[in-house]
Amino acid sequence: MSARRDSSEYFDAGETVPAGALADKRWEAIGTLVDHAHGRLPFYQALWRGQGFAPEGPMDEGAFRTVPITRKHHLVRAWLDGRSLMIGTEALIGFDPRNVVMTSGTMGFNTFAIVTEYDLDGASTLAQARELWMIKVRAGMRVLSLSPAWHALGLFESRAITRIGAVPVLPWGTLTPRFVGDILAAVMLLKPEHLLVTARAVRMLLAECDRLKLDPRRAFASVRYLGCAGEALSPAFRTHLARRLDLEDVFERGGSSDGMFGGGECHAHRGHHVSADVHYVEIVDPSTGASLGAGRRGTAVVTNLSLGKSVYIRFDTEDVAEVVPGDCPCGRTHPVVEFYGRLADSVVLPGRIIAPADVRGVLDEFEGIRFRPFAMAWKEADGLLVSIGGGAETRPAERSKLEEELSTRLSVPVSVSAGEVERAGWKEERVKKESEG
Amino acid sequence: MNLPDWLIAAARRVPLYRSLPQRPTWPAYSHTAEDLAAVATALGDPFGGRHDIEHPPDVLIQAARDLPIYWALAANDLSALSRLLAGAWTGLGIAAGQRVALYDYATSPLVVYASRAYLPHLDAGAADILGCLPICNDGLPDLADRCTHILEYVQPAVLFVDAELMGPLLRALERRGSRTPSRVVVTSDEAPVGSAQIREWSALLGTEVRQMLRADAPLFFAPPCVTEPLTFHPDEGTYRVEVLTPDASNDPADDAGRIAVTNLAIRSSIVIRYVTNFVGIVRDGSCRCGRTGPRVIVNDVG
Repeated sequence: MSARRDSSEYFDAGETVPAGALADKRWEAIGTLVDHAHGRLPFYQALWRGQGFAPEGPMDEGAFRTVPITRKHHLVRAWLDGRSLMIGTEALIGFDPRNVVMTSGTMGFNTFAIVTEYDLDGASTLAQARELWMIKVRAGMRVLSLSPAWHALGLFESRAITRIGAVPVLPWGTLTPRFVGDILAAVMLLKPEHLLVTARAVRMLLAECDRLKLDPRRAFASVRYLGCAGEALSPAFRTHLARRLDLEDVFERGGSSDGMFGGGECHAHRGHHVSADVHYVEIVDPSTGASLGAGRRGTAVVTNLSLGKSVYIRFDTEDVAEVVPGDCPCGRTHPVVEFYGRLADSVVLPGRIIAPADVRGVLDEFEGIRFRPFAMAWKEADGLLVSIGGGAETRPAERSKLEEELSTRLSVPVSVSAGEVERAGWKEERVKKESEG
Repeated sequence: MNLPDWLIAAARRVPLYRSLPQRPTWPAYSHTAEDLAAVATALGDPFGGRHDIEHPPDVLIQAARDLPIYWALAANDLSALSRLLAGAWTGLGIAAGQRVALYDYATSPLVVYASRAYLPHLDAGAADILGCLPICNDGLPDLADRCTHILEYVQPAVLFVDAELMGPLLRALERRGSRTPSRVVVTSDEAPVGSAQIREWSALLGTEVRQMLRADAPLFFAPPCVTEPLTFHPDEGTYRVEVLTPDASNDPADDAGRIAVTNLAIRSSIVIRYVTNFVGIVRDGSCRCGRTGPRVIVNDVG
């Protein structure tokens, strides 16, 4: 049980270390990591040798940018070639492998990673505990959690709940429609104060309340906070949840089984604080590979700073993100990264990226179509084509207003229509970018 | 059957055992899943009247699928249960260094007590105790392809799989045109699989298929006997197993009946004579395999 006072703003003193000191520690850790990978990890040895890279001297920002970016297809190829559990990314530093985790398989291939006690008791769980603390999980608090056991962040969440001393509420099953009744029953019977779920699960729970003609405010009367993972929450959706469930706050959580990193929002809701002493996140132009500064969108490239597990070094997550500029009013010195969705689901234009979250944010402001699935496509002649599914019916006047709002906010021509939208995967809806002709 | 004093004292404290319907042919404390649900509803108690408030819980976890009853378990209980599971794994021949795959839900007892990373407040799971390397696939039928992917790349020594997932798994393997060298252990909550079905699965997979007896509502697992069919060896120090026959005048030792389980491992939730859906007999004394202690022999459902 943690002796930490519940009123503490921070989980540990490491969250407010001056940025300069964080940077010094980062380059030291990266130096160790790169040396280890170059000397001992066959995957990186082969990848780097193939791209003519060999580390020379101490690491700093400039030197690190010369390290080749690791892409998902590099990893998948290594598994296909090796046909075994370990591919040479495992920096176990003498610890026995303790758990195998998987990625969600966005390329149609679930890659694997190894976790050891060193990490379960160390850096990754510390980062997760900070995240849970940031979103108001406290000792003794009942917290509904249904973390998948195949997902690295689920494992770290389990250990972080232990470290904080919260009491998990674990309904049967997983966060799918099949078990929504169990989850709702758990909320009503065991009265958790906090829910750690996905946005999709919350939509399911609200739909179940509607089906059962339950007032969500009564069903969720015990719940004060919601930690929502899986997708970017639009401001309208966040407000909707807070109002319908009568919550004190809704926190977006995010992370990736690819790269084994994540972060949550503080009360300022500016984006995700990523523990800078555990992971280093760069934003990279997906077209050129150039590093982008704060406030500019690209894809998140992550480097794990601790050993004792499978390590990802300059791994391109293919998630659209940006580092939010400026200091955070919460006082944490760790960078704030905002995530907007998968690059594969986005429209990449010269100098800018239109992500699903951008469209979602506008759609959710319109009563008749909010929270419905949609697809988008880009055509040079017509601009952005947005097809709204889920049985949405828009009158011509409303459609015109929606097109105007989208065009203004996104600064591109937009056409809106109603149509079928592909749904796939555990995130329920995938924004499908239709390729042009 | 003698019950320890601590258990009798605890049974007086919890609401369940003073709320049960009269059943003259069953011994005291006997109850079913339906009784748990009825007590939960009548008392508004999500724990089905089993939680002993002298033991504050560290974890609240649903007891079984489709049974809206929760365990309130303290960290000591979790440790005891993971040791039990480790014992069952040992009974199945699982040893240090082996990889163990789990095709079941993350909240299944087969999974939660397997690794300290799967359940908050658990200090060591079965895999940690034995030095095995676990991987969990989750338990949705549409994840069968991912399970075959695990079999191919992780190459576990053993795959635990819920019996209801065997169909999807076999179809997924067939699509890939592959089999598996991994040993397969099927489990099914209070619904043992028949020996003919086990043989058929074994033939289809081209590997050894065994069954572990499992009942989630009393947190019961028993590994199979290595020599006797449909015979299972529950941990003698943890479980009291009895046969309850419809007619109390019959000698239970000679008649098959429903198997009742008392769980001595957990202190914060009290389980005395939970009546499972297993139908069979209990035998004491030495088994042909060499093990001693009570063994459960379930009726073959074909």
